[in-house]
Amino acid sequence: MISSAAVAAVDEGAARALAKKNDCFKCHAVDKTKKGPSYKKIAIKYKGKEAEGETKMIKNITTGPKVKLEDGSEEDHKIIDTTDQAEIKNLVHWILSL
Amino acid sequence: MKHWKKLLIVCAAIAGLGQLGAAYAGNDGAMASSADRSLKGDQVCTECHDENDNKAVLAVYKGKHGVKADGRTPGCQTCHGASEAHVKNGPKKGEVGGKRGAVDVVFGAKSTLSTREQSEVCAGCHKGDKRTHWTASQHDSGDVSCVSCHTNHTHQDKVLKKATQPQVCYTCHKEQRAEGRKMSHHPVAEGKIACSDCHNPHGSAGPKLLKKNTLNETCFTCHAEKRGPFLWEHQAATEDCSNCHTPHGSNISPLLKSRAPFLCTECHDGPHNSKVPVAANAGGTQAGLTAVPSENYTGRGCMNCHSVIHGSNHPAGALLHR
Amino acid sequence: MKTRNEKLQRSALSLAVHGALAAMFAMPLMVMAADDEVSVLTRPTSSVEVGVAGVSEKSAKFGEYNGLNDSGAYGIANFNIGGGSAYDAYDGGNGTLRWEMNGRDLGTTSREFGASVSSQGSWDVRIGYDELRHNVSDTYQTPLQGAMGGNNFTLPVTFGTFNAQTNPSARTLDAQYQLGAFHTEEVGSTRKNTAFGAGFHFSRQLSIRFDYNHLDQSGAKLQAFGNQGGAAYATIASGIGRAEAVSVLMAPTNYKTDTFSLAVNWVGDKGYLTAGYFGSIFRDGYDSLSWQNAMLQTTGFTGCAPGGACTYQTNVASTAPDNQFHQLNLSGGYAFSPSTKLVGGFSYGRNTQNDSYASAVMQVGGLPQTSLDGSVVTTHANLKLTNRTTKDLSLSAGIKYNERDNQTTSNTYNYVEIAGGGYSGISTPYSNRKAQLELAGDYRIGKKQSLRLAYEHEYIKRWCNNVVGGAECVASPSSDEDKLGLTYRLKAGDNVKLNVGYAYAKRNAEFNHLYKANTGNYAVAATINGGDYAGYLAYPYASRTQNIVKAGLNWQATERLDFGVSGRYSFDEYEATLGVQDGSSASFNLDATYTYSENASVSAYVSWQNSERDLSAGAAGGVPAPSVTVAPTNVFSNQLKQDGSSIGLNTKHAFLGGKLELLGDLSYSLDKSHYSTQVPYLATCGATGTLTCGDTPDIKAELVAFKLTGSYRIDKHAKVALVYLYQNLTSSDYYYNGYQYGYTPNRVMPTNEQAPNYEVSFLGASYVYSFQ
Repeated sequence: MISSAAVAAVDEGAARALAKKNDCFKCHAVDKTKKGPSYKKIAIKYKGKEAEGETKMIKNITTGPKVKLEDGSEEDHKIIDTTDQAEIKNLVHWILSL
Repeated sequence: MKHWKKLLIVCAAIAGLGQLGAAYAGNDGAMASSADRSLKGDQVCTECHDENDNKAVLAVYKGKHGVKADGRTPGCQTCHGASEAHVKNGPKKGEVGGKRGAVDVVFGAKSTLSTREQSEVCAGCHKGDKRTHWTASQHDSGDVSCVSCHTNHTHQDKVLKKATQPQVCYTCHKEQRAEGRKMSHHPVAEGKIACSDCHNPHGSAGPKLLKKNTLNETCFTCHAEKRGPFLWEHQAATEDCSNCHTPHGSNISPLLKSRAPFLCTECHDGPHNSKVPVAANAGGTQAGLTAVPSENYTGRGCMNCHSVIHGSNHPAGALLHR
Repeated sequence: MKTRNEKLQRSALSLAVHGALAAMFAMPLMVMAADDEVSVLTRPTSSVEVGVAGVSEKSAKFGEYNGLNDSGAYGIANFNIGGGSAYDAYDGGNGTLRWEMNGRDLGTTSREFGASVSSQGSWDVRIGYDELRHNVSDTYQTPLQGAMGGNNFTLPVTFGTFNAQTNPSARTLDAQYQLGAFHTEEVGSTRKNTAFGAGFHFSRQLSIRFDYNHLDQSGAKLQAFGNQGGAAYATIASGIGRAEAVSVLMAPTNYKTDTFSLAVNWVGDKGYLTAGYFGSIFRDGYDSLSWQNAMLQTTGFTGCAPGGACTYQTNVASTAPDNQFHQLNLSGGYAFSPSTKLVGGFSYGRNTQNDSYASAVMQVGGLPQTSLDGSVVTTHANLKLTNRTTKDLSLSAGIKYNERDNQTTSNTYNYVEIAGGGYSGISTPYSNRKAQLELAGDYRIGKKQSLRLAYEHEYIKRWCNNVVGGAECVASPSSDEDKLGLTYRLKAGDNVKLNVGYAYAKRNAEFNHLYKANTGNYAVAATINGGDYAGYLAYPYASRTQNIVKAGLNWQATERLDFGVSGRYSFDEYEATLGVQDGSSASFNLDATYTYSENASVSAYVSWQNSERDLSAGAAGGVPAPSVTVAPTNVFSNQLKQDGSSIGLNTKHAFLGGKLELLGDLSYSLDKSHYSTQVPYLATCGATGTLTCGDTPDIKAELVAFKLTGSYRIDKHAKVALVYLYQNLTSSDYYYNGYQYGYTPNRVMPTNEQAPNYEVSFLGASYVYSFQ
């Protein structure tokens, strides 16, 4: 369970920078559907079940499983180029906070 | 006559090679000219390379290449190629920070294409006019491509603006950058004239990539008062302004290669005082001379009297006095 | 989405600026698109900057071109606004219209303004106005009366005459009537360019372009003139200061130049063609420059004491004559195959001048014509064939031809020259022709290396079409030069680029010892070598060997750090017994840039340049007539040595998440020019009474400049900027010495002009409003 305090402590700038650096925005946007769902859509999906969302997202960005794209096709999810857990969590928490 | 004969032989030889070369033809047309140039056609790229991209790819739409209503403008794939390896291949399984396949035509330092191959993409549309002499010009032969100087994904290309253009040219032309800081210089640093006011970087029929056919013709564009023809011509000036002047900057005003009387002595050793040795006496009494200084050496030296130095139109001006 | 109301509350100033613009340009206040990030990328950002600045010190040199001529306050005004339907492209719009208006440095004499409207692919129209004040001097002093920019200068009747004291310490001016008459003038020339251009596309293949520029120049430059002594010239006896007395004048630059260019462009699948006209019409508002002479001879003429009612001789010089140049141009190219192309061009131009001669006061025997009726025909042709037989081999062969055919008639002009003697001048209208052959081959060795070999032959011919008497008019009627160049390029890995080049050139110049220059008096002409000593050769016309080596290296050490090093050395050697013997130049440049974060970088450079020129010349005194080669014992040498170095450091740093940006720029440069003369045959040349051997004082300039720019972004639309500039110039130049009060040669009117030295601070504060 993510407390509201944790969400409030999200560093948006760092999260956006990490996402940008890793080309996350090539497939995701904050509020529009691209190849992948918008971050807002993801946040809504996990509203109230943030822990599940966090686990799922971390899995996607660290192990690179096959994911279903918005157009129905499948592609391997990109693996993020960092092993800093705090950085990754910050990114995930930012997405969930949207 | 012998020069023309030599020339004909060389031309014939080159033309012969041209016939051989025909077998190799076809590289120029390799670009995806059939690419969808519409905004919709661009979406295959802009879907990912949108406003969140690390690079300002979308800024191409505020430049001339983005104006879709002009039927001549390219689409993304017109210049960058269909790039199927990039469009269809996502990151490889399990690769950390995995990248998509390569784009067919990348411009700039990271390109796998030679500078010439990159330029040929642009030359597919941009031919003739100011670029007539591009092929085998100094820049073309010197490993410089269009994108070495030009930026397309922007509103105003830096090299096309008078005030910012020199920064681009100085990336390579460091000597000119240093000369531009000297005591006497054209107002380039002040943003009042740009390199391209005298030079055509795309190749020219003149020397040193000058815009006009000759150096003097280029100078006379702004300094028309020195064009004449004068009744009394100064041969050095009618032939080549750079016999006495240097264009990019000098420690000796005004843009001179040397100070009179020494400057004049480089060509004259006859008329009265030009055969007399001069040293510290050119500096007059302040340089330690105890005798009366001579107007032949001090100040403007010879030009104290021979001052209409670019040519005189006065009937009593044979010696460029009037 | 932000509404208009929200925006307007942001700041009163931004309201004022935006409102004023809306009123001026009837531009709708654009409501920000929902997605500002997209809009910023796909639409142009307009900006308006207003502010105030102050300059601490008045300096003509500091303000030479930047428009900051005086101390005190300046307005800062810059704008760049634009829009049009062409910018709707990303939103699916189908417009092609684009307009732009910009202004820069509007608060100074370096102001410029431009506007353009275009429909991309169809037509475009642009106008422009550009002003430039070129300061010449703010320390020039003269007793002559007449405003800067005028063409007639007179002396106060009480000024009197002066000269003739041979002892430097006695060359004083009368305090009341002479020194008191000197006044300081700010000398400079103002250039105003007004431009108009338009283009039209008839089809994708065919377009036309017209450009017009009107250059209006006013003001003056400083020019020295020797005075004519006496009225009845032929009767003047010799004496100190009789003639050749020097006055430095504000020679007017009252010029207007109209330039036209019209070009039709055709582009086809395989070929392209440009046909055009270029015209340049120059007009001078004055026909002559006249001034009065205060320096009379001591013998044969009576001087006039200061304070008396004096009269003076008036001298007349010519100003630049009106002239025209009209040229037809044709250029084009054709691709025989994708690998073989031919390009070529042809130009035919006519340059005429028929301005009436200025006063013939110095003429004794009448004039052969009242104006020159000068006519020069210029012809140019070029042709180049290029071939890329394989991807790795490129070949090119080209020819160039340029001719300046001066068809002006040669005539004899008899007059009394300023030294008082009768002079018989024969005009020599110079013609020249240059033909070049260029061959080059580039070969790529794999992906990493390439080699270029180039050969050039240059042939030059010089002549005069019709010289009265038929004498040869040029020292070197022709020359042939062969040039060979070799360049090697290497890419070592992804991060290192290297290039090395070598060029060799050999010029063989024909030399005609029987030539007569128009600088020689034909009535008493030296029979050979244009009056120069035999064996003397002007360097542009001497046989020469040239060697040039250059190299450059670029190294991207890390993603954040890169270096660039380049150097060049050239050595020229002339085949001349007397004249320039050799010259060399060397330069070295080092650049480094370190980008230590996304928002911060620092870069530094060092440039060093050196050049040398060695000259041998014949000595006067005790030697045979000029027509004889100087004996080796009477040869002196002169060396020019120039050194220049500059270093620069600039940094860029953003703070507070990009809100605050600081730019720092520090540079230093030092230049020196120095002459050294060796006169081995004279034992006393270094004595203080002669100083004809030894060294000149340095011509030296040292410039320190520091600029700090800080800008703080208040919100999306507004930022404030603060600029501080400090510049310090220390220069010395012996050129000015001979024009100082009490230090002039005894026949020179002092100007007291000083070498530029300044220490100026500039502080500017401005508000920048940007919008879309």
